[in-house]
Amino acid sequence: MPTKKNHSGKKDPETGHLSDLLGDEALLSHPAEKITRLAKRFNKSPALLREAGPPLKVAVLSSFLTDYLVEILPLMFARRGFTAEISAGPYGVMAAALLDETSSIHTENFDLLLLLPSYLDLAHLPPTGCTKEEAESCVQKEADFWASLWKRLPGPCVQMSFGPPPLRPLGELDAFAPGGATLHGRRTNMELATRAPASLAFIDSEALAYRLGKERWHAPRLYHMCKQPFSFDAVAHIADCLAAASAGIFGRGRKVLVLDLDNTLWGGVIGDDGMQGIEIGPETEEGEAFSAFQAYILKLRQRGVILAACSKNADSIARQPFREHPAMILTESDFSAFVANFEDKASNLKRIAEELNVGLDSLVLVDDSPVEREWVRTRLPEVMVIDLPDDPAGFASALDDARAFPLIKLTSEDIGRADSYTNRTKTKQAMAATKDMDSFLAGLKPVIKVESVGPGTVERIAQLIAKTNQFKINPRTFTAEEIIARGEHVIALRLTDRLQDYGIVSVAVTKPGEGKLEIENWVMSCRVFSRRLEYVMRQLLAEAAKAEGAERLDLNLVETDRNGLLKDILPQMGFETRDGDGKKDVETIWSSIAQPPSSLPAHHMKIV
Amino acid sequence: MTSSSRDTVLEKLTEVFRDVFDDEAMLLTRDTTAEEIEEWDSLNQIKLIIGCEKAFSIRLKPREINALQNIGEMVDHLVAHISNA
Repeated sequence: MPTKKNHSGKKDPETGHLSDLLGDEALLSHPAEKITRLAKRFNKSPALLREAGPPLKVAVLSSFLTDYLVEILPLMFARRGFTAEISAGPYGVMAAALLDETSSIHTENFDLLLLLPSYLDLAHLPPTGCTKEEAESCVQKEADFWASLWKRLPGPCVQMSFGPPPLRPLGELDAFAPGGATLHGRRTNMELATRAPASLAFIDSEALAYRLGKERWHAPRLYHMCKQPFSFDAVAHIADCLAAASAGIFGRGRKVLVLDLDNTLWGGVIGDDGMQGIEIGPETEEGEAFSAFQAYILKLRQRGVILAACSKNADSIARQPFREHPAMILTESDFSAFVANFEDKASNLKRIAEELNVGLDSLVLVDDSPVEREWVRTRLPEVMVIDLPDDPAGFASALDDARAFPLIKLTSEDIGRADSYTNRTKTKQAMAATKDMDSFLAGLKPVIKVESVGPGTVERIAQLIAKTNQFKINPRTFTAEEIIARGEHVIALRLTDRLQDYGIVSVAVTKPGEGKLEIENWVMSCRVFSRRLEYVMRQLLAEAAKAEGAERLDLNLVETDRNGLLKDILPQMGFETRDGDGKKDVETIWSSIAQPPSSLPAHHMKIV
Repeated sequence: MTSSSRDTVLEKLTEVFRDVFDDEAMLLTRDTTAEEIEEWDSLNQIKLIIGCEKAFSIRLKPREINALQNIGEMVDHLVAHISNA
């Protein structure tokens, strides 16, 4: 039987409202000409552009014509929460622009660089019939060239890896014999990935080409007409992929996967069909499909995606399959939040966000019901809603294709994150039950380790600063190299308690100045809110100031739509501002004497 | 080729133009020329060619399209290609 395709949630780019289409997860399934048309309309609506999110100045360097790509990029960045301003130089000057220190890439302060070579930029193709060693030295020559360019990167960068070439003169051997161009491209990608600096993320061109198919990816005619080697379909996907990776770099990727249960994680309705009636496991075709979907979700959890259940059910009934059905792959403890009741989904999503202490724009909803999806889309446009096909065999793919959880570097904190959120919920429940907060916090036996900057910590430090949104005094990020350069002026705190090791969860970057210690940025993970960890940092900042002979602590607060809590916390910790009430996205200087106020409650943490 | 099939082609061609220029009100006549459409540059010309190929399921030669003087000639060119296909 052919797969049924669900068009119920699909919007028409010609008639739909632009703002609705921004959240349309099926956008990329539209023909390229409809997407470019929408992008064109979007570019003509400055009001909508500004609403998308914080501004991002993006430079594009490429070896092919990017006019069509640049037309689509603002729309794709808006869908990932940025108001992007794109500057593209003439194509073909990638290396020259990076090496020339007076080029605009270096003189204008770009937030992000997109570096876009194509397979045509492989400059050291191994000769046909060469030895393995010769082929390897060709790979090294490619990598040496890029490594020399990367030394000149002005800041964070997303680079396209080399996609497969359109022709395979060696046939199947093109991918296996030392002289094959396909093999050379793949090996070069692998070598580049191991040598890339921490501030650079790759998008996987081969996966993109594979997703579209050769005929929809390569466009040799277009290359001859206008030096764009990719089809218009491919350009739309490249743009979305670049925007998703950028969201990952700036901590705007989604964090929480909210799952409906009936007909989403298993076939049937547990309340009606009962334990014997629901489909999960190898007995039926649909059951197999739901098992495969659960296995994929478990993989996401293992890499740090937080799971939440949201079901219109009585709580005990919703939990029953997890407790009693032998074929279930996901277990109750995999979920960091579990909400089953008969309230509307939008309210429940808000509750989940609150419980996990994340913004609504961190949530992704997977629900088989088009009605629920539409309800959430209209009520909570910040939530990413995945359009599922009718057939559960397509669920995992629909979620995978959405690029909702971009991962730039896999750190040990990512691996442990979901567990950490599950424990956090437990801690929060315990907190609510404990009247005496001080004794509760002390009872957790928290230990703070001040971590020094080194190979084992620098990436996590840079990542934490980039990814934090709430407890973060300003949008400034640091590359791994910048963190290393600041060395002892970086205070990084690891929290461990009797429940678990949370990893590095707070960082302050400081700079000594005339009589003062300037706090360039200060972040704390929302996982450890309400633990009084900020008081520990405040104390350590006072000690650091004293060591520098500074009497004052200064910081630049830039209010965003997410860090509002700082306006309450900073005065409590002794900081004052003379700049008055700050406007959004404007810097205000806050100052304090080095010593924290004596009114600050005890943090009960042991510092080692 | 009848005049009604020319009308159908013109209608479909108008749709292609509306997509490329994002202008739902755009109306083409046989006399319309590139000069009359402000945004009709070489990059949009390529979009128009690719758009026509997709809409009419044909293959076009960019050089032949570039030589056409107005929409009327383009319609005739498309009609000839469609009937050859």
